[in-house]
Amino acid sequence: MGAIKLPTTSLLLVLFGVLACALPKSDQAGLALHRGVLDGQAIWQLWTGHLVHFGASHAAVDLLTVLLAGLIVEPVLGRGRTFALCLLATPLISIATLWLAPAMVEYRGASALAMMLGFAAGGVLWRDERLRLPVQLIAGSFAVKLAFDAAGSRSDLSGMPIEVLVAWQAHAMGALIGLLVALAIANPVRRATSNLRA
Amino acid sequence: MNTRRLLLALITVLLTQLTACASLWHHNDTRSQSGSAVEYLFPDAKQAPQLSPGVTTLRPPVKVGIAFAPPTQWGQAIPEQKKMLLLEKVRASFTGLPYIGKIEVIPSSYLRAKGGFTNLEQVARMFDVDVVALVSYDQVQFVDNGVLSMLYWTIVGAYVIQGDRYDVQTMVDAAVFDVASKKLLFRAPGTSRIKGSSTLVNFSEASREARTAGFNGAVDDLIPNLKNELDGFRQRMKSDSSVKVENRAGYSGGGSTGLLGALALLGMLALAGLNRRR
Repeated sequence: MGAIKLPTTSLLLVLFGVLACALPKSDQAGLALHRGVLDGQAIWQLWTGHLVHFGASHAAVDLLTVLLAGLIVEPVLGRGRTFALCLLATPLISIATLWLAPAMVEYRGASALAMMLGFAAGGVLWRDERLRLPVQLIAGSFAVKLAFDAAGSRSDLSGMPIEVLVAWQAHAMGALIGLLVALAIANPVRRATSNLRA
Repeated sequence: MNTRRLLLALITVLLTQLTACASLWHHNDTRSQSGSAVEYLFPDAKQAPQLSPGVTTLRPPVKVGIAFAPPTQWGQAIPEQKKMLLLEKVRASFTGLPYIGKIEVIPSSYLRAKGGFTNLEQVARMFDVDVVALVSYDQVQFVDNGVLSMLYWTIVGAYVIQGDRYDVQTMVDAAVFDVASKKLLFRAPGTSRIKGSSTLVNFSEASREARTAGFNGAVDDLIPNLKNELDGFRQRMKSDSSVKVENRAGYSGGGSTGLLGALALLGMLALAGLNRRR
């Protein structure tokens, strides 16, 4: 019915991601998430680790997913709330990932944010009863992918160098936060209350 | 009688001098030094080695050892100091790659001639490496006398005339093996050819320097080839089910939704679009 609203926050994430790709490799390494943040060093990496990637193809796949999810979520959640969600969830995902993967020394990628927004997008679609089956199927396929990643299986579709392992812990955290957001979006009681207040 | 004896003595002295002069010339000779990874790993093999098919597991950042294969014959070895310098050059070129944890230069004294994989496993355990790059080498030096070498007769010519020619052909070949699975992961060659000439008195030094330069040139040629092969191997690994990558402390993790994730979101967007139209 209405025209597609521009997902400003998601576009901002994509813009930062593309700009990060253009930085010299040493600068990119300085923005990647390292274990030092747990000791209070380079705190910015809690956020910037999700904007740098291991290569152009890796960045392209992740940022495209963020943008597609943003197109669904942002019009419903609103620009400000989406921005606040990303701002608060990013360091939470970073810390949880470092804690859950103690052998990992470096993390890069926007996929955890993409997972979060993707699951939130599922919440948006869930409101329509006719779309629940496809949403369930897509959520199920994400769960299977997560299980494969956790088992150490690899595919050539990640866009990452072969020696970089998929940090499934970050995906799981992103999915968990996204699921909570989806529940908040899809919960009809809360929506009804919001409508009454409005 | 005395005159006859004197004549005989004179002839003897003359012949001795002629022989000495003749020794001023290098015979057209060939000098070689070689060390072969095949000889080392598969000694006395009558047929192609049978490797059991299995999965090679690599755990980045991979710990790599690099060594020259032991010499094929006694006395054909490159001096140890020269070997270490060459291997240090290779190490410096690959240090800093995120998927390589450390590179250990393994001295030749740890590799036993015809030691096979048993010896390689011992060395890998000792140096704590997963993968070993064995550098085979083969260097041949040809020596020829030029026309100008005739002037060596003048004695002064031996000091000023560059009448001896040498041609040093060198080949090095790095074969990278996973020690646990005994699998050849990839290999790369490097070659060089150095030609030159020298005076008789400087020949030994000049040809020695040419042999050293030959190895340096071959290793310089090897390094980019090895990098290309490494990149190719990393690409092949993605589709090669016989090579598996596992994590180890110090690995890099990446978040990637993968192309399937992007396609799933595209599907969701299509569903959202349909929903709007309704």
